[in-house]
Amino acid sequence: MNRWIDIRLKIRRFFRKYKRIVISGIVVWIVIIAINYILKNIDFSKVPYTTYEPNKAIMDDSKVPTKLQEPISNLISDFISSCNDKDYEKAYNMLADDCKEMKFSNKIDSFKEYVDTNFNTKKVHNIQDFSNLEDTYIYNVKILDDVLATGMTDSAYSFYEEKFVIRNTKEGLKLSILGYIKTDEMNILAMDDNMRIKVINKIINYDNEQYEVEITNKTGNYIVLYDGSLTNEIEINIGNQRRQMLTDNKEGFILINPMETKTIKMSFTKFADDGRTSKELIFNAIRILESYSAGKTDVNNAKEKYSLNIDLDQ
Amino acid sequence: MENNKNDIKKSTIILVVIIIILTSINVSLLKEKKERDKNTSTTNTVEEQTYVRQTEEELKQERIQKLKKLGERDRMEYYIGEYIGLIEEKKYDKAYELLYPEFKDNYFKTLEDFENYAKEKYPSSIIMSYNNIERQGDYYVLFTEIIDADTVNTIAEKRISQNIVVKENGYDDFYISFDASR
Repeated sequence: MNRWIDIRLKIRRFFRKYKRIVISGIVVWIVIIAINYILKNIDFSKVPYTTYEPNKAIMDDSKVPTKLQEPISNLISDFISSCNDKDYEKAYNMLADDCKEMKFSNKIDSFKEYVDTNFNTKKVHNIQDFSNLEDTYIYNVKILDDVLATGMTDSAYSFYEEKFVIRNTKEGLKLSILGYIKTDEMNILAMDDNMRIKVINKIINYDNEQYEVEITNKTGNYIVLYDGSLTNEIEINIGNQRRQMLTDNKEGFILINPMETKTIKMSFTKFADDGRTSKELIFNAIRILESYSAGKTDVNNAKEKYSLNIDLDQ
Repeated sequence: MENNKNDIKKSTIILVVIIIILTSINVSLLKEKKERDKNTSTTNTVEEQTYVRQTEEELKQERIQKLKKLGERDRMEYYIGEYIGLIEEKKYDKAYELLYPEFKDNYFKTLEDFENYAKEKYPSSIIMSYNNIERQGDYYVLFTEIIDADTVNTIAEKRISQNIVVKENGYDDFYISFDASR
């Protein structure tokens, strides 16, 4: 009996002495059980692992901010869906104003052509962040037939792709297509005895820059700026490189008649994310002629030949 | 001072011992519960059907565990293998279930249509050859060749080139479609 009482007293004393330790032990135990239970019930791999990371830029591994990923994806999906439904007006109104102006001359009919060409059948799409420039996110968008619905039966495996550009502005996300990023107003003026050249603006697309240039011939002579007889008649200098005017965009033979003013668009290959700035617009072969007859005059026998560099970095 | 040190040492030892004991109890209880669950599911006679369902479920879980260890390409090939396996076993209804609904609407409105197609086009014993894979967002396009295993390495070897599209919704949850003209 005494022994029993002794044991009870010892236990009581033990708990009194080590009360805090025992309680701490139990708390730690409960925490371990809870963590164990939670970890056991979380399935970390419910979603199959893929290498597809649509919001991680291919060019530099940068990422579109998490809060913008879903809105951007939804915006692109809505646009594609409207194009699929031939809801031209809805799709057109989703575009940024400057994109409408520069790519479609503010004409919905031009946009209709774009839709009818690229969405002739029901299409699906997928996106891949390509490059990020501050608040501008450039996505590569692949548009293709719904291959899962057709199994590619009687159709070739092909897709169309272009760059969609999304700018995050104070007014919200602005969507541009066909690689259009923005237009920089320039208003740079250059003059000599023969000409007055005004660089009005620069349209920046993902893979090229297009300069809108107004040229006034101040003389009674003919001025030839381009005729394709030389490889570098018009170029831009982008620092350590020079780029020729793109042949697909040039307006053929650039001839300014006496006292005439002409507005010309000149495009050059330049990637928006190459980290370079265009320094100069260079006219390497300005030829002044007293008379000119198409197909008959050899412009290289001009009475005066010279070059002119226009500083773009002003 | 010496006493205090001893007390701290003692307390720490007691605390560690308590935690070890309690954790062991926790582990053994969990183990027991798992055993119990397993036994109940296998010994209950009323639920013979439940047992079969559980086995299917277990097989699915096994497949999922296996798929979790595979990369994208291997998973897609596994899915196609699953589909081809069903065709070989003549389980056309199960294979039909794997087809993308819109694809079925387009080319195989009924199971019978599909069964006729499968019987006509697919050899009874198949070897799959995967030539290439391309990903289009959530879709995977596999460029395959279906080889008649009975004719392989003979002059009369029969091969059909077929593009197969797979969309994976989750592990072991997918749809496929293919060029139905082939």
